[in-house]
Amino acid sequence: MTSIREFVKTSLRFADPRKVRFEYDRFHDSLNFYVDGMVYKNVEPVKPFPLSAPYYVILRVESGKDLCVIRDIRGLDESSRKALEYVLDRKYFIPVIRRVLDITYTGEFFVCKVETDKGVRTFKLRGRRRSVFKMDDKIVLFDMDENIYLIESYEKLDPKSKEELMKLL
Amino acid sequence: MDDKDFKRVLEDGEKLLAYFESDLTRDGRFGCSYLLVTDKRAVVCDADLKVEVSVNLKDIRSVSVKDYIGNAELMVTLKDESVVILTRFSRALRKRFGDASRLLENLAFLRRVRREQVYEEEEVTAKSGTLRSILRFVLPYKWVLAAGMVAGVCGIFLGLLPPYFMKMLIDDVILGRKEELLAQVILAIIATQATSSLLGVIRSYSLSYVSLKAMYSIRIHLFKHIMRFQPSILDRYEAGRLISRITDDVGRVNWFLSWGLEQLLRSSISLISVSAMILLLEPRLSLIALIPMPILGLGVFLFRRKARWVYHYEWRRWADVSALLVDVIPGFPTVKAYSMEDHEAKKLKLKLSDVIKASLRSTKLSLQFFPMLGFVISAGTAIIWWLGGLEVLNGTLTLGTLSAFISYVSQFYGPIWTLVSMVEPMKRSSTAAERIYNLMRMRPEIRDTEDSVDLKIKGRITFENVSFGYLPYTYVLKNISFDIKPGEKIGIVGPTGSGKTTLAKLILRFYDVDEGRILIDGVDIRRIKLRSLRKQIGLVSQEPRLFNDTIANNIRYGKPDASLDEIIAAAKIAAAHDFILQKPLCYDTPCGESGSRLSGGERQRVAIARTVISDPQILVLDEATSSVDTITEDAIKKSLDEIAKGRTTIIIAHRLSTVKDADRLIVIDKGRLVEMGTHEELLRKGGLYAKLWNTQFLEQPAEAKV
Repeated sequence: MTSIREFVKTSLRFADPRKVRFEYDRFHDSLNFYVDGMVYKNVEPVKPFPLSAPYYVILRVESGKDLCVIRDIRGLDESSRKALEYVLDRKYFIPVIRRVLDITYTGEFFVCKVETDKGVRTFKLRGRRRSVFKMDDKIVLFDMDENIYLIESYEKLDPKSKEELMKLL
Repeated sequence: MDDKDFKRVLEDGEKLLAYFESDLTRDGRFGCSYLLVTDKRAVVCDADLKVEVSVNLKDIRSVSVKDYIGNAELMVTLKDESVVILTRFSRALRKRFGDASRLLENLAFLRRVRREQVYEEEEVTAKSGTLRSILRFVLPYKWVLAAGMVAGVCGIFLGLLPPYFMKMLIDDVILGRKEELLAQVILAIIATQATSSLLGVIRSYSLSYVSLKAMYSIRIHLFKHIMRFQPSILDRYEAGRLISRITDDVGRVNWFLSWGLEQLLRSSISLISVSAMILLLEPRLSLIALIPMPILGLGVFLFRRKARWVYHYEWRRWADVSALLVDVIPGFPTVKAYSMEDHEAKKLKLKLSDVIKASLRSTKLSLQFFPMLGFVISAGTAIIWWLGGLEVLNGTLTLGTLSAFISYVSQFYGPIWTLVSMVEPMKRSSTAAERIYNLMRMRPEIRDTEDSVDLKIKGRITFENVSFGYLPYTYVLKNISFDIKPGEKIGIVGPTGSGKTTLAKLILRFYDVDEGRILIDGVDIRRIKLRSLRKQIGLVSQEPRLFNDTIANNIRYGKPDASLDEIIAAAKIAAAHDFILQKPLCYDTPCGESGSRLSGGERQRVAIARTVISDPQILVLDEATSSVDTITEDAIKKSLDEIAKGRTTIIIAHRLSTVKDADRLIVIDKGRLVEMGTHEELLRKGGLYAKLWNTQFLEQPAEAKV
């Protein structure tokens, strides 16, 4: 009988972040992956859990098949991590909201003005049920253009931001 | 009536096995009659135990129940082909006489004699335990409640002072010209009011705190209680009605816990203390103040008598609205697809009209009583003004005393009016409390018993003469017997409505079998702890329900402590990994309410992942891949084959290609097991399976497909 744990061993390949290397090829705009003396060119890194486990990464090859899993990319050497995060940051543009400056309700949608780690932004949300998703202490906002914003910890927000968010939550 | 009374109907040495009380007489009138089942006979007698029919069990050939409109009959066919109608009963007793029918059948055919426990419907009636059952949720906060009440009572006593200060102000300070007292009296009034306000804050906060905490506890308790039931509770209560109990009814009880209880106590104490004050102040006038009391008492008595059913009726209408909304809103796509928006709106309008009618009825009832009672109180005050005014003019009473008396009288009528006004909300709260209490009182039919055991399941499943029906005497499965070895892969096929899914539900013990037994590793599943049983059986149903959470958390539902690696592996087995990675937030993507943001095929695959991650010993796939294309189904099959090695797997499918590779196939038709064997054996046999196979594959010769 194959248990799910055993199936993990046969269906997933894990790469030790200390034994692999990434290199960003600016010319081809591709990411090269070095493991066990082999080079995989143009690998696609995917964060399967971009919000709940952002350091867990699957590498996929061009055919769309999974190559391997790196459970925690923080274990990579600095240049590899930089190269990988450069690609990932472009792929996963999820601004983290630091402060909520203002929320108004127009009767049709909410207009939110927030300060994020990427700068100040104003966006519209259609309604609470469709646009706001809570994951423990995290809050994910989906705006009307399907952009995603993240509040990493509601509890850690300043009181003014919390007060503004009360209009929405 | 009990067993002793029935003894006079029995013959010497005859043993009473069970008795069933009917609500109709044999000639079709409402009334009581009894069916007694002994070890020798079936005896029917009337309410006075006069025997009307007696049939020897050994003469019975068959037992049947005929279901008519508004009533049904239990009848037996004897060996001489004659039919004897034993008893008639209203449809409310179908379950009871279904049990009777089976018992007779068992006895007549010398099967197992098992005295059935007759399942009684819970009566929706108030019991003395209603208040107690609700108050126990307040007990953990008794000290906060006590603080609130003490603050309230202190407030009452403080409230007695201002009229007295007013008397001093008029008689001593103004008329008696004692100016030196003016500042003291005014300061005393201000201090009294300030303390009163503070006590009011303490009282309000404490009571709100207690009621909110109690509401929280009741809702959690009720939710957990409902969760102890089997899915069959939804056969009896629609989801909307259960939701209404947890939200609306509990909300209505809130008033009683937060204010009703305190007002009751406060008003009573206030009434006693103010009565003492007015008696001391002016005994003659205080007798006049009592004139309205009998009228008020009578009014309250009459109102209470009528109100209960009016409020029950009104809330049942609200529950109907909730039930409709819970039914229709998730089915919104179906409504749109059939352009039935207007139809559904019409249904809602009807239900809401009923609510309006019911609400107006309760409003009318209130208006019949309360304005009249209010008038009686006002009239009492006017009479006191009249008589008191005459006494002041005659010089037999001071103006200050009259002012103070009138002030106390308003304080006297105040609590009376409060108590009278409380009758209506109190009635609403107690009706809601009754509904909650009735639900709390219900016990799940299927539950663990003291001798239930934890079992480490190996995977052998045995059906022994299993019969089952959702309705008391309509069998969905009849006399099913088979044995599945541990690790075997079994396909269950059959036409629509043949009972395949019911079979899966019985293995999970969502329902108990009516006859026969189901054994797992040789142990009757009724002796296995429900949690132990279900933890080791994984079910993927045709229309799996996902929760409004992320995909990862939905998969993790099968194993709360699953690692990220296990979640991905499970998704790979279910051929879900690739489509999940296409979603914007991959595994962190919200599924929406009931999984509405995923397609039917995606939902099925997430549900398969959710099941396989739990590592069940027995895997039941009930049309689990019916919404996915054949290529995806193939991929799922390959991975499942890997994971299913050594596990007992039951695959229920319409699409015969899904199950043809199973070790054995069980063919069910009209609730009976009609064939069993491998794909090849069944094709050679040329029975129902071969017919179904040929129909699915364009009537090509069976051999060509083997």
